[in-house]
Amino acid sequence: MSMKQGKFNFRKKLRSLPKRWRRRILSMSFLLPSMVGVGLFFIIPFGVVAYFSMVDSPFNPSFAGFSNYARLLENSAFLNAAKNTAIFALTAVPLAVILSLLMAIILEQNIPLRSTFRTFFLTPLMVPTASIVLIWQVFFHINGSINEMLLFFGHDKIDWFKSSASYFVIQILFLWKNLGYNMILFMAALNDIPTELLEVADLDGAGSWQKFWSIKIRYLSPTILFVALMSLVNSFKVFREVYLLTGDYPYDTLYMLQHFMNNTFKSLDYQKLSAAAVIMFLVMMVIIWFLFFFEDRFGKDLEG
Amino acid sequence: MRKNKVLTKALSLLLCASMVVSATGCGKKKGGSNEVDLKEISYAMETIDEVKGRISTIEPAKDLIYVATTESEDVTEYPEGYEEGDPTSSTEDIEYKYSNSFRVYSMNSEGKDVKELFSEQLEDIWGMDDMTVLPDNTIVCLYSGYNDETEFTESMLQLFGPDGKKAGSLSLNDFFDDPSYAYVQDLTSDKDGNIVLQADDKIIVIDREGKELLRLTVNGYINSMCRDRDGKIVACVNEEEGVSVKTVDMTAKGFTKTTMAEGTINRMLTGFGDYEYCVDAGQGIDGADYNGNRKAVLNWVGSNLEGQYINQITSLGDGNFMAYYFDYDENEETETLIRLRKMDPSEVENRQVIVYGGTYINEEITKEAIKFNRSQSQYQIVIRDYSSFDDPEGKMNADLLAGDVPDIIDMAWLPEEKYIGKGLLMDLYPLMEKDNEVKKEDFFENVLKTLETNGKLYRIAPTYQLTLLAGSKDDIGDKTNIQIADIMELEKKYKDGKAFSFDSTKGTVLSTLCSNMLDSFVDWDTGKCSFDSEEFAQMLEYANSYKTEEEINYDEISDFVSNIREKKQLFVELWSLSYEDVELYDALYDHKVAFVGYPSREEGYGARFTNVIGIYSKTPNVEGSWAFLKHLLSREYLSSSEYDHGMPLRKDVFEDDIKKVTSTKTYTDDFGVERQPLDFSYGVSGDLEVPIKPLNKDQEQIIRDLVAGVSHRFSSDSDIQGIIEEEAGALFSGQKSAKDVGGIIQNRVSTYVNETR
Repeated sequence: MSMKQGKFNFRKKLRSLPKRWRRRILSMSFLLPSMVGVGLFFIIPFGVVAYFSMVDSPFNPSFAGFSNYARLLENSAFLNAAKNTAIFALTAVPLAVILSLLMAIILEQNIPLRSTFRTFFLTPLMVPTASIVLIWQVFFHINGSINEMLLFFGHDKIDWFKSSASYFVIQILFLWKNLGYNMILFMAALNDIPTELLEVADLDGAGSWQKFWSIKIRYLSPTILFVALMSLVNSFKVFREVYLLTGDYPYDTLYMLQHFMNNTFKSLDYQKLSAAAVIMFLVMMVIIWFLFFFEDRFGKDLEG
Repeated sequence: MRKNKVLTKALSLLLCASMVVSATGCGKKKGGSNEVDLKEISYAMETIDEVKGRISTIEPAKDLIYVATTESEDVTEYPEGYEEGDPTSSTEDIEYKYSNSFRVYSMNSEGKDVKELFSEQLEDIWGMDDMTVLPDNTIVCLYSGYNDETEFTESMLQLFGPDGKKAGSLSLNDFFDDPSYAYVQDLTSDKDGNIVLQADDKIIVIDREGKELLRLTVNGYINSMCRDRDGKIVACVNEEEGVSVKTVDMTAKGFTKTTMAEGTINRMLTGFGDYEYCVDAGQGIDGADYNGNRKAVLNWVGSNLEGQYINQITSLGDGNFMAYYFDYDENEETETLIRLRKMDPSEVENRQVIVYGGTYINEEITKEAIKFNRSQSQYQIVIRDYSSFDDPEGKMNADLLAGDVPDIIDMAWLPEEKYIGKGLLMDLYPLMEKDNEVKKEDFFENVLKTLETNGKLYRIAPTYQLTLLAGSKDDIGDKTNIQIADIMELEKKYKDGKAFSFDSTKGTVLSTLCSNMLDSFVDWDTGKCSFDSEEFAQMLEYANSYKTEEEINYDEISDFVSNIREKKQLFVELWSLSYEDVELYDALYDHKVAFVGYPSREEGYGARFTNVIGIYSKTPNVEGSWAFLKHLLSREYLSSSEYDHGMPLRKDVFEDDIKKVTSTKTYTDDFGVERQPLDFSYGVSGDLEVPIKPLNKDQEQIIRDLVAGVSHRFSSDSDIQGIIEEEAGALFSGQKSAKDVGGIIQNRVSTYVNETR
């Protein structure tokens, strides 16, 4: 009886609320499972990370303010890792976007062996990371095939993984692995551009460059944003290959932020690791905000 | 707009809540001691003296416990005229034989009402390996033996009725694919009275008539098997994909895989209560279920039991255990059947639990913990040894970060510096200052100083190893350290001479030099490294002057003594100098021995510590932890220890040791132990027999000078060592110059050093 009474009261109470509030409660109840998931797996762990970044030790914690951040910003290993990661992202991401777009445009043309090329560029996606590493070692080891070729042509051997040349090796590896996927995304986006628009432009006497810049790029802007974001994320993931090729402490040009984080985790330096993670999060937020800002500026007339 | 504000506020609130939740979660546990409840893990040992002999099997049946003991008599037949010890007597015609017999006892589950059921004299080749008892109390014994005529290893089952009368036998040879090796490793039976045999990778289930009911093969081998709580057979299986626990399903004719909890399984035992099976986990017995839960039910040290003496432990299925106790350490061996009785919580003393944890805890610490527990009634030491986990350090660190920290941390093979840097350990100097029994002045201050970090003592070790090179005084002079340039000069002087032994390789020399010289090339305070220096290149070049493993021709090498005497080997590496070494090497170097420290930037000798201990900085049991640490540092313990750990940190123990090795007369020490003067000899290869007599004054002074000259501690860093060894490979194979290799090492190690700052 009392249960019935309670249920009735709740319904009555719900009905007595303004419609705006009722809709809000309804939508919140649909959102709740997702919010719980996000809270449990993202927000709470982030809170833990933020907490660790402000204590002086994981075992004997006492509040340390921003001293971990200050120490981190003076740590030459962190600064080197941040610099390498930034340089890699700033060069690899634009290259990954531009080259894959270029490839997509080329393959969009009616060229011979078009589908063979498309398959060829996609094959790196199917190769497991361990195999990629093995292939790269065969090519770029000091006694590898590239150096054998150099010797054949009278050039000295290059220690590809333990010299400044290592940076280019990783760039090539990244592009080789990611261009195919990006290209497919661009090809799909290019196919979605309304042909009527391009025909009208042709009638109006627009040149190829004008059509590309004024129509295609505008229609491609959400895909460019997506490809840029994915490439950015993948540029951080290049650590996996670098780690498998060169271990915990590679030549300094290959030392990435993930090396720093992985190693500080292993050495129980949680406060340093957490401060680095928070800084990385803030930098990523700024970058992503900029990307959205530019996408918004470029593509707003298309989105209505 | 307003909607956005509300959402923003809600998100902020959620963030704040998560911060609070995480913050409270992170600081929740403050000490591992609270995790251990003595009342849950304490057992009392009761001896069952009526059972005599070597216990082979303990088998609980429905209402009785059956125990089998074995005896073996040497009845070897020697040919006529054979005399033992006479090298001219031929051993070819000797027929080695043993006469084996066994006895079976029964008793109730309390170990009372012991009856000898029967005894059996075994014929020919047979020995009794195992026994199981079926639900109708039929006793099944497993015999095995090696048949000289057929050259086959054979097995058979002999059945006995409950009265001990023979009730049939069964050859097991036919159950094996390879009839020449029919060896059964384990025998048990299930609740339905089926007999279960285990041989390598197979479990074979037969009935008592010998009919095969089931045969299961695993992709690896079977570690152990037993009857579970409900009478089913459960096995611990080691396969390529890892270790797993599987039950034998007689209906489905196959294995059923269960979820196995992390941790080693030395032996599987029958479960009881909530536990489907139990495991011998090394430091005690754990109860486990098929859902991957595992919990300690018996802790040896917590129960003041010497686990190393307890064998053939068997679960009686009611929470109690029975085992064969064999104390081989005492002057007189003690062997008896014991019952381990779960103590009633009211019987367990209310003591403060001190957890002593580490990834490698030696047997001596365990023994001392038991002694300490028995010597007082306030504290109870419980050992937590992580060595049984796949990744001991990783598991221990995970526990530390979760707040489950042992009160005392044994840092053998653990990163002490990292723990100190993270504030895990307590400064021991204030404890010494407050204490009336142990003072800083009791220890060699120069040695103690090498353990300090910024003037604080976060760790201590009862003993240390003096790591030195022994050589001729003519070559060493008055130096306390020898440098690589000096070594190279000496090698030039003696054309065929090398500093280290004939079997030293490029890799081992580099590794030795690096482990002793690492601090010379790394400034941990500034983060600056100097692996690109001339000095390091010289070290690399020096290591490269040795041979590779493949280049060493062991047949051509003359013996050790000749190498030293002919100046082919200039130094002997001493990882841990013992008192007698002074006399031994004095004889080896024609009474012109000198000891010198390894190449190092620091003057003086280096000490190595292998048993470093610290106290958790936040332990609620500071007094108890310090009390046990004091016990490990006590003169009584160290002076009477039968183990040799090198040099003692305590001055009075050192003086006791000096007295032991210099005394020319028998005397009784302060602890009532009669000490004989040194009188033995060391046989060194090359027919050199060095008599060891009491040390003379000069030899005693050498040891005193060496101890007084300790100035630094050897620190090894596996990461740096790994980088150096990896890069040096290119030099050793002739692909790169020492300078190039030094440059790459400098680049990589600098990153490592700066990262840790």
